[in-house]
Amino acid sequence: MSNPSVPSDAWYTEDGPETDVVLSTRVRLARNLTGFVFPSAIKSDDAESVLSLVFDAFNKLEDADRYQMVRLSHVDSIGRRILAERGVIESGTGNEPWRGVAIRNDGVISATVNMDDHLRLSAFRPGLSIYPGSQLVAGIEASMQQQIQFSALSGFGYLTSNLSNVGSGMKISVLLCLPGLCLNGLLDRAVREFLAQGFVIQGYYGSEDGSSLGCLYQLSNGSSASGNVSSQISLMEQAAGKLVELEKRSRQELYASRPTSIEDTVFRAIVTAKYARFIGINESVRLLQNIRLGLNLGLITGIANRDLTALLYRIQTAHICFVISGGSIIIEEDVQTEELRQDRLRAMVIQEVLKNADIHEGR
Amino acid sequence: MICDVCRERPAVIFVQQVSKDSSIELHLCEVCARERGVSTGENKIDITLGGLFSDALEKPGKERPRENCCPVCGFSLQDIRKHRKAGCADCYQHFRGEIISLLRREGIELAYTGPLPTKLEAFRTPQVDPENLRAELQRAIEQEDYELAAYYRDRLKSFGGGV
Repeated sequence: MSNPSVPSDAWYTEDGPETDVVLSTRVRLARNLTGFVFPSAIKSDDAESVLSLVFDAFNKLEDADRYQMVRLSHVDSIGRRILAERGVIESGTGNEPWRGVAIRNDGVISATVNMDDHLRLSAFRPGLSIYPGSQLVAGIEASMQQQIQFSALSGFGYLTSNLSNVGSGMKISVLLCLPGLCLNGLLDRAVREFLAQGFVIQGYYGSEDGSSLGCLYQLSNGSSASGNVSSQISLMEQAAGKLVELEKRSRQELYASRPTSIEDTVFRAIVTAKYARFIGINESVRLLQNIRLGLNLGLITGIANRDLTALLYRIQTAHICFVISGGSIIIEEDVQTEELRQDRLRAMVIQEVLKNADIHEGR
Repeated sequence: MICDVCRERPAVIFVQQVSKDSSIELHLCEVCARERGVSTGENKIDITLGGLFSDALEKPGKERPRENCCPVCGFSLQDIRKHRKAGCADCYQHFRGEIISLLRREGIELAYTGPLPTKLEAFRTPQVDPENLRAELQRAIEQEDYELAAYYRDRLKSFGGGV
């Protein structure tokens, strides 16, 4: 099987710093054009103008041929869901023709047009890479400023739709896998502490009550209105670094104090992941994080952190549906319903990646 | 029984609106009734019930002042508070003080010292051109809309131009 489900724009298949804990980093700049009201209040003909101005600015970038620009109304529903699963757009975004996305062919840079703000420019990097990510977006934003004038006001900085996003307009989000802190019960305390310091920390994978599906959490800056770009970056670097340290220590302490039960969790996960025939999305996320825990405690070999990160994207429902609709994968005839076919393919995708993974008896 | 609207004068008229699943009852004094187009005389009662009830029920007591809206996008301060979102760049000018204190209450101190767009000084749009602002200010004064006039005056000040 030649990985038909890994497209060429999969930045998440690369390795990055601290990948045993941090899956990915996103740095996003929110910008609005002068002379137009924000998208929440805009009229459609003005929105059309904004869309052409922004797309035009992309077309004038030096590496313009690397960008694909598309109106959201031209993306089918499965395409929109994939974009949402990758974090390019928010799920539930309207598909008015004046909303658009621009994506660089490596997937590292993406932009939304006329969502909350006229332009939101994002850089995605694997692992903990806040500064490199910010350099990437800043460079592109600077080139775009040659073409378009962004709203700003002295004292406020760049003006954005969200009040807390004024200033630099920068939102830094770090996606972390925290099984250690989940298992030893310290997570609640850590979350409260970060919230008290003005950071936002929330469960990833959609659940609205803030609890994470599995142990995936997203840490981001609560506001970009104070200080400047570099102080915001260093604050986030410190916060994320602290959380990574806490998680690493928790994993080691857990294994030192309860080795048998940790081994049980990890070994059950790898066996299920390798041999089950149907694996649902929730179960997959849980299995993968326990495998990650095992890998980083030396209990599992034959797989890398980046493979596990990439799997988290590839097993998501729209990604799976896309592969099924491609028709190149043959699923057993007795698997009838659509949901079962998805779970079956998800198991196949996981098992393909885990084929060399094995248990390593450390003791 | 005192008036449900002003809560000062005695109620002299009783209005009842009955709809499919609820009914609303109001006791009004003569002054409030007349203000809302309900007359106690022999003339036919001509009323706009919708306006009558929403006004009276939302804010018993004093009459509500006209809402302060951003002149460019029409967002009111309430909209901004509720959604924590501005409607346009001019909201930040128009509601400058309110937005600063709104953020402060959430523990966000607005103190951005980072870079601004390189061309910030050079650009002019109809909304920020001092010449246009001066004309608008003049017009507002002529129309005796002092609230609007103050807004244009402050904007002119913020660009460093004299009034």
